[in-house]
Amino acid sequence: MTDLKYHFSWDLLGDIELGRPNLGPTTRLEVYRLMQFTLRDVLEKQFGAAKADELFREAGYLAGKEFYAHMLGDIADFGDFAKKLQKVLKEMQIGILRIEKADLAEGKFVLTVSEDLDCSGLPEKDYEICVYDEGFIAALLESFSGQKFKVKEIDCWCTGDRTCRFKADAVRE
Amino acid sequence: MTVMQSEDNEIIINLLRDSIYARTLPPTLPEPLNSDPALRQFYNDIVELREFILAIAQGDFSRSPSTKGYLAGALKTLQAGLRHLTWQTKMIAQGDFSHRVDFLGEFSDAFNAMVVRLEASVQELNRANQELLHEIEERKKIEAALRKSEENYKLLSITDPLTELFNRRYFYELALTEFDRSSRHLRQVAIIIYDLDDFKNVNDSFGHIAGDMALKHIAALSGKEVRKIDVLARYGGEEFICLLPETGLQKAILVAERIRYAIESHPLQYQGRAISVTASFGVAAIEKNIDTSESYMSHIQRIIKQADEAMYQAKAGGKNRVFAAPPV
Repeated sequence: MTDLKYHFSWDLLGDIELGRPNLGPTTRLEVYRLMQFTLRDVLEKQFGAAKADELFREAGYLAGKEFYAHMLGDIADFGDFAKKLQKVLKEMQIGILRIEKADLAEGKFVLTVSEDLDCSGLPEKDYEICVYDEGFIAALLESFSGQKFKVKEIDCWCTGDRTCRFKADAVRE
Repeated sequence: MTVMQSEDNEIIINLLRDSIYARTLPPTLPEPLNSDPALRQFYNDIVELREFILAIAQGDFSRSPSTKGYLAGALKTLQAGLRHLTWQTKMIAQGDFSHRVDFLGEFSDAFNAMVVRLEASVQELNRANQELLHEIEERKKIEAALRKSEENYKLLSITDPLTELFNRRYFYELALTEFDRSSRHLRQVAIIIYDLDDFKNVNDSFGHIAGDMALKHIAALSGKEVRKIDVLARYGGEEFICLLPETGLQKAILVAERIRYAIESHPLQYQGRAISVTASFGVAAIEKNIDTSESYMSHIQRIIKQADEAMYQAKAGGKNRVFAAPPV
C-alpha cells in the first residue's frame, strides 16, 4: 500500500485563505459530523464496527502526529505542553481540555475533553464513541514524551456523561 | 392481584423517596423487588450514585462509578472540574502562575484573582530578594575593599617601605610582646644589631639608588637566614635589628655569623658591577629570667644598648665581624 492516491501531508489541507476569501476557515459542526458519521456508516457496513473503530483510531493517531508537528512543536515541559494544547484546542473549537492526573514518571494520565467536537450533544448510546480521539490523544502524548501510549475513553457524552474522560497509560516494552 | 400491585407501587415510591431523603439504604433491594433485574440495576445505580455524591462531598474525587446517564454525568463533570482544579493548583504551587479556572463560576473569578495576586507577590518577593542579594554582594565587595585598605594601611604603618622589613616602631611593639612572653615562660631571648660598613662610600661612589638597592639586598639576604618567629626590622639608616625568641647568646652569635657571611659572599649586582658590602654585628642576650621589677621596655632598651655597644666594638675591631656582649 505504498502507492497511495492521497498520502497524507499537511499541504492537503490547502491554502484556505486563498481558497475561501469570503467564507473563511470555519464551517458548521454539523458538516464535520455529517462527514464523520456517513463515513463511519459506510466503513461499518463494509468492514464491521470493530474494524471501523480501528480505522478511526488509526486516522486519529495520524492526525495527532501531524497536529503535534504543525500546531504544537517541540515542548520539553509537560505543564507547557498541556497549556499550549488547551489553548490550541480551545482556539480551534475542538474541545475544552482539562488534565485530571499527570504522572510523568509512571506514564499515567487522565484527561477530559468537554464540548468535544466528535460527540458532545450526540444521542445517548450504550458505548463510548470517541475512538478517533483515543488515537489523536495517544499520538499527542507519544509525540511529547517519545513513549507509546494506550488511550481508552472511560466516560463519554454518548454514555450519558457531560464530559469525555480518557485514561492514557504508557506502553512499557 | 390489584392489591399486590398497589403494595408494590407503594414500596417503589418509598424506595424512590428513601433514595433521596433517607440517611441509609439497605445494601440490596428487598424481595420481591430484587427479583426484577431492571429494578435491581436501578437500585444498585442509586446506591452507587449516593456513595459517589457523598465521596465528592467529602473531598474524595478518586471514585469512578459505572453508572451512566444524566445524573452520573453531571456529577462526573463536577468531579472532572475538581480534579482539574487540583492539578492546576499543584502546577501553581510549583510556580506556574499561568493557570486560570474557567468552570466554577464566581469561585473561578476569586481563584484567578488570587493567582494573579500570588504571582505579583512572588515576583515582588523575588525582585526584593534579588535586590537584597545584590546589596549583600555590593556590601561584601565594599567590606573586602575596606579590609584590604585597612590591611594596606596597617602594613604601611608597620613596615619600612624600602626594605619591606618591619619598622623600628613596630619592632618595639613586637619586642614588648615577646619579652612579656619570655618572662612568663622563663625563656631566653637575644638581640642582633648590625650596621653596614662604610655605607657612605656606596652612596658616594654609585649613587643613592645603588645605596637603596644595597639596603634591599641586605634585607633580603638577612630574611633567608632567620626563622619565621624571629623579628627582623630596619632599625635606622643602614642599621638592622633582629630579635630571636627562645635563643641564647651562642646560638644568636651563630645566626649573626650566618647573616654576616651571606652579606659578605653576595655582593650587590648593579649595572654590571659587583658592589661588595659588609656589616658589623653586635649580639646580646638575656640568658636568665627577666627581672620583673623593671619594665619590659627598660629591659629591651638595655639589651639593645648592649648589642649596640658590641656592634661598635666589632666596628672598632676591623668591621665585618660579630661581637657579643657578656651574657646577662
